[in-house]
Amino acid sequence: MQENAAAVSFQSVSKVFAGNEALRDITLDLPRNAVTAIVGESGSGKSTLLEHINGLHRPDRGIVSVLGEPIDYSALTGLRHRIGYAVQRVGLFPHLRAGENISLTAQLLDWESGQITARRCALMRLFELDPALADRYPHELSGGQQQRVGLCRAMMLQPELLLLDEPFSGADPITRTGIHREFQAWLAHEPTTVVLVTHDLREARRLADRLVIVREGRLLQSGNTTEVIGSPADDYVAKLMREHLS
Amino acid sequence: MRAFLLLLLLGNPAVAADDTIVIGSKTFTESYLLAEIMSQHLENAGFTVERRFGFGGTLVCYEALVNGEIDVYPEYTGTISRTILGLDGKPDAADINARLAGRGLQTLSPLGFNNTYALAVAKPIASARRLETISDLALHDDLVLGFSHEFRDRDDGWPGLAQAYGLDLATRGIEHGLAYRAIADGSIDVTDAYSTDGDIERYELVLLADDRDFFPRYDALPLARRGLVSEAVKQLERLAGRIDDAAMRRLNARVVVDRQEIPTVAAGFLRDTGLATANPVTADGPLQRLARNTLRHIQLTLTAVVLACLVGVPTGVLVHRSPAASRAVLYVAGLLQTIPSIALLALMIPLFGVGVLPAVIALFLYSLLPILRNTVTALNSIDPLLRRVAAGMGLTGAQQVRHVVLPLASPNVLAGVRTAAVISIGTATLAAFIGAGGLGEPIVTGLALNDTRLILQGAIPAALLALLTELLFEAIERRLVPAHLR
Repeated sequence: MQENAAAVSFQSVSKVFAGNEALRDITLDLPRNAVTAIVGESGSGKSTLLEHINGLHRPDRGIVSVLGEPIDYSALTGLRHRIGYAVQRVGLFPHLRAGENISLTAQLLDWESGQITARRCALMRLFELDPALADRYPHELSGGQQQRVGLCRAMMLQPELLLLDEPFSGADPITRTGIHREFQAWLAHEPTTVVLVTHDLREARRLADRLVIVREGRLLQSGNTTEVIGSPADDYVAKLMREHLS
Repeated sequence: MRAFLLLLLLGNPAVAADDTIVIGSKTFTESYLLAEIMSQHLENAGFTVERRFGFGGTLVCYEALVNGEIDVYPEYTGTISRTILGLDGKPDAADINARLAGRGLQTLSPLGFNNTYALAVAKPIASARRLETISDLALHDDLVLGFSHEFRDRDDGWPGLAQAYGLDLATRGIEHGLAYRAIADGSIDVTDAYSTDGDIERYELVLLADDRDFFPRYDALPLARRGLVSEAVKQLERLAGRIDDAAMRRLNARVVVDRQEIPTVAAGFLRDTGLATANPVTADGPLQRLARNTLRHIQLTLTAVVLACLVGVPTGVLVHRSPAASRAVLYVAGLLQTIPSIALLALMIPLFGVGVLPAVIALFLYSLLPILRNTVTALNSIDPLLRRVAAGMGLTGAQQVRHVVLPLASPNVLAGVRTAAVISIGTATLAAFIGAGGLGEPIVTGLALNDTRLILQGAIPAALLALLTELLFEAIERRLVPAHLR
């Protein structure tokens, strides 16, 4: 057992969807207790890369290891309980109230109800959600509130690894800044390995310790945020930095 | 829930206790009357009788008897030899009984009348011309003979009759329902009739004797299972020879002409013939009958719809991911739906006999399509993102179905169950034709007796039941489904 191994490790991972090469021979380690942003344009394969981490996709070739071990695809449920997951369109269950959305997995894992309430309230406080909102249905919440509830849901089980697929996009700039701040406060409180998929380099620069740049299913560059920004590996990355960060 | 289902399936009042005699009838006045007379007579003798009247046709009644759904019903010798046994000519009673014995059945002694074809003439003409027998017609070639179309065509109708009697007379075709009136207003002089028709009394007609014995005999008698307890057989034998043609005509006329209730007419007959001394045991009152029919109706539809849910929803869950499988399953369910309900019920008889079981199976098959289709549609209209998130969060397959998929699909599935329930309540009224009872029973009887009041006694409660079901489902929906998902 390699205790200090990377939180996530891709070894020569390739994936083809209907003749379309979504991932091409990706080899990549993501360190523990850091925020890694996977950055790329639409269709670059960044979401596909993320969805290989919690086993929503299985690679055609190569090996994905998560939290120290290659994924056992026959036992995904247990692994997924250690991984939080939040997505852009949030995907709150419309028939469940906000509070029920947040505590669903904890309830299914038979947590004590006191423990569930305490954890849910703490998270809602961190994300500046009024406790009364717990009783509302998703459609009765604003877009920003829905995204915050989605994040609380992903964090409910105190995951060792948090996967975020553009969870901040779609919100207006003011709301977004608010959520960024709350997210960072949570991170300071509960240091966790975070993998963030985004097409927004400013967001990546603000939140991430490390950057991974992908294009057309290929890994172009990965490294510390400042390093990648300071010395782009090729013209495409340099152009990306120039256009989005200046 | 399981106990409830078991109750529905087993708590079936059709499976009567051993000492109960179940009496059936077909769907015409005389059959109802004879069955009611037999019922009251046995009740007067201390038996418990269950009346399961109004089986739609000879073969349904016969099938019910063979399967032990009923113990006895009134039948005619000609029908037994021709329709049931498929014999031509005029087989004798011993031959018929020998063949019936092989099927576990027996005939009891004839009741005394012969309900066969006959030729009817208005009384004044008969007496003026001294017409008594069919042979007498040969001397009166000026009479206008108006026959129903069927009688003019059948070998055992006019063609055979004319040949047997050597008659060479012109005939006219006339609608049977209009023939009596045509005789009354003098536009025809002679027509074909059934010899115990109640209208013969009403129009004061005389029947010409079949002096050459041409028409086959349709002697009425109780057709019973051989297993019928001997004490009951003994009691039914007391009815032997008690009703002659004229008596049967009068009894029929009291129902179709005087509009008296069948139980009243039957009780009057038993009293007049001295078979019943005291006031007869009254049959169920109208309220009791309504309650029994309604309960049976609910039992039929509820069992069928619950079973359809137990099969339809899981099947929908299994197939909805595969478009090919969904199409195949919906196609089969749709095909079942296209079978006319009365035909589907008829198809059930050779497979499951008559009574509650085939009715429930037919209703179940009808309920499948709306439930299946709505389930498949409901499941496919769930946002795939929600499934991805549910999987990504670490819900097992079963948990995804239980906590995400089914709740989101429930409004649509519920709507399908609702449609199925309302359709079943309507269709179940036809179940009376195969002896399953329910609110269709007064409708079928009313149709046979041309009694609107009786038809409404079934139709109105059935409509109310459908309405109540709608309201019930609305209430369930309000409870189960949050307002924004309805």
